[in-house]
Amino acid sequence: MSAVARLARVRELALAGFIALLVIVIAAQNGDFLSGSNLRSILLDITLIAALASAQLMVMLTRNFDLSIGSTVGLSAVTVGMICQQHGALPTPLAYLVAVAVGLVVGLVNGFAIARLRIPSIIFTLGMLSVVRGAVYLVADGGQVNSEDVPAGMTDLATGGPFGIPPLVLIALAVALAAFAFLRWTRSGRNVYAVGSNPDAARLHGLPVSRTVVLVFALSGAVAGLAGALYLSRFGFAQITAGSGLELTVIAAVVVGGASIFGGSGSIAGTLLGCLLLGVIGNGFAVLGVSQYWQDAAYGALILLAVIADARLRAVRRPARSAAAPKEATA
Amino acid sequence: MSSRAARRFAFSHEAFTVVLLVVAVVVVTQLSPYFLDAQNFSQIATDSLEIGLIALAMTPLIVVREIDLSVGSTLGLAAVVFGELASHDVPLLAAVLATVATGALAGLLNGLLVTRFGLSSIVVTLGTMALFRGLANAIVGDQTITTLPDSFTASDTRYAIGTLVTIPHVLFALAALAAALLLHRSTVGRRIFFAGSSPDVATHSGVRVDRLKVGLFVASGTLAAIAALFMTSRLQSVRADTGSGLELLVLTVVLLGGADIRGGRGTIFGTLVALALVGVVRSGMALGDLPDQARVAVVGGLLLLSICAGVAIEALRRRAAERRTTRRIRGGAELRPTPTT
Repeated sequence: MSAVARLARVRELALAGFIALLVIVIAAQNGDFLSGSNLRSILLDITLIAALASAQLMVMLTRNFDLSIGSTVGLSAVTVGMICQQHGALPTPLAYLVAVAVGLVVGLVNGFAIARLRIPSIIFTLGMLSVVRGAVYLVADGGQVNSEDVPAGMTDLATGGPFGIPPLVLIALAVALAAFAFLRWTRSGRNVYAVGSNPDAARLHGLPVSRTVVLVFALSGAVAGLAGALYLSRFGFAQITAGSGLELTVIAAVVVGGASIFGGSGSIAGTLLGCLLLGVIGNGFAVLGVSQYWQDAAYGALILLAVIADARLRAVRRPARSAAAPKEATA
Repeated sequence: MSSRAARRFAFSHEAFTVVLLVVAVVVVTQLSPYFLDAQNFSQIATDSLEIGLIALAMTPLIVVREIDLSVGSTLGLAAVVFGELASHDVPLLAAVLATVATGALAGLLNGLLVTRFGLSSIVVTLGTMALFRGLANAIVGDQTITTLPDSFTASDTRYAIGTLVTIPHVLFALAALAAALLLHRSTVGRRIFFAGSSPDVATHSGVRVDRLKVGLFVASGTLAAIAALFMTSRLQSVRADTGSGLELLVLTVVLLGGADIRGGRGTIFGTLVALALVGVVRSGMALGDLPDQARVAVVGGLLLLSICAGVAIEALRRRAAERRTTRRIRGGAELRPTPTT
């Protein structure tokens, strides 16, 4: 166990080193990269991704995927925006609460279908991706959320803040910290790892396997709902396509952050580093004048590299454990 | 049909899909007077071609426990390659061959990543989905290519029989027949089902499962590229987002057709029935002037329905089998294996 943990920590260090190298290379080409305003824009860019990825990590730890988060972000953003448009501005905390509630509903539907009916999560959430997007269309009713509909209290969260760090970033950071504490110190959090590394053993051990799966999907939905409110705060408007395609970026961040797609292994620290790497690459492209059109290709290549690295590490780890002992004995 | 075969069909997913198809046809006929029309059916066939073509490869892929989420992006990349070549006066045949080769290479990349590194195809093809779409974006950006040779864009209107059956229709029918024969009447097909229902046993019995899978991924990429040609000739233009979201439709068709996402089960017949069902539903939505977003939602709903139906049908089948066993025991028959006649 400790050997695996050590290896995981080394991977995070390697990732951090890679990011540092990338930052040095980009900064050497263009000094503006390290300016305060550019760093703040990187932070703002990865805010949504970081919150979503912290929740997606929990889902992926249990060997599942949640592809519906992009649509859920859109649904919660448009729902909150439409309520404000028709009934006047909501107080900011209430707006955030409504957003979380919307997401939670979607998450619970996902969780129950996947855990109780035993439907493969990737397929079910792929279906939900389009059903929820259809719901966005219904809620928007042909319109969209314009900048004058979004309460000033919400958009203010994207500016100012202590040390020039906008409150929006702090909210995302709080989500990540909460996820970290949950995974590390609570019984349910440990169950998430147990269920993911060996579902059969977890069941035989008496752990609530399907309740854990429902829980992670509910959390993923709730965070996606919250991210919808963050979206409104950040951009100040929402079209019916809001948040589409986010799921891919988020999964890329989690996988690049070292979480195994076979469940049971991955950390919040790694996931945040993964988000940072994607943010630095996306921003670096803009700073270096590389066409933004290459961004998708780069993310795709990163996902592939990360899963190949994961598979290689497993291949190295497994024979090393079983073959080491006899070799030592003969020597 | 023997009573046993009839019973097996009655409890099959395919039967459920046939019922859904009948219901859909009745409902859409009631809703629109323009639906029951030979010209409309011809249009439905044309609109369903690309999805159907890719579904022919996706069905055996699902049977063998793999999946290809990159088909929409592969189609986009192939279409962009074709558009770039054809609009720069490359001979049509060479452009077509290069397009098909692009698709085959994309499939080969997927297949090799999955088999050589032992990776899950869901994640690999999720990665290549972004990669191929990104490459398509990088090649054409936000341009729309419309300067395609007339001889190519007009081919869609070349009729094979009368004014209803086009050449692409005939090509698709032939492809479907070939796929059905290959999957259900050949040794390769038996190996696909073998590898899908018990991969380890198949491997130990000398089936080269990896090679089979690579072949199926290449087929998937190639058919996506051919679908790109059909689509380009139909739409007469190419953009970087050509074919995006198509994977959802293809998966819906294949799963609705009764293929089991856990592998080992699926038929070309079921896929074709589901293709007709999705075609009828989409036609109904088009006649009803439903906007794009709503149509996507309905297709997603169909996908969810098909998976839930799969779970329910499985449960029903198990219960029916149990009931038969109990009845046999209660009926005084001795407890011995039923003679296989």
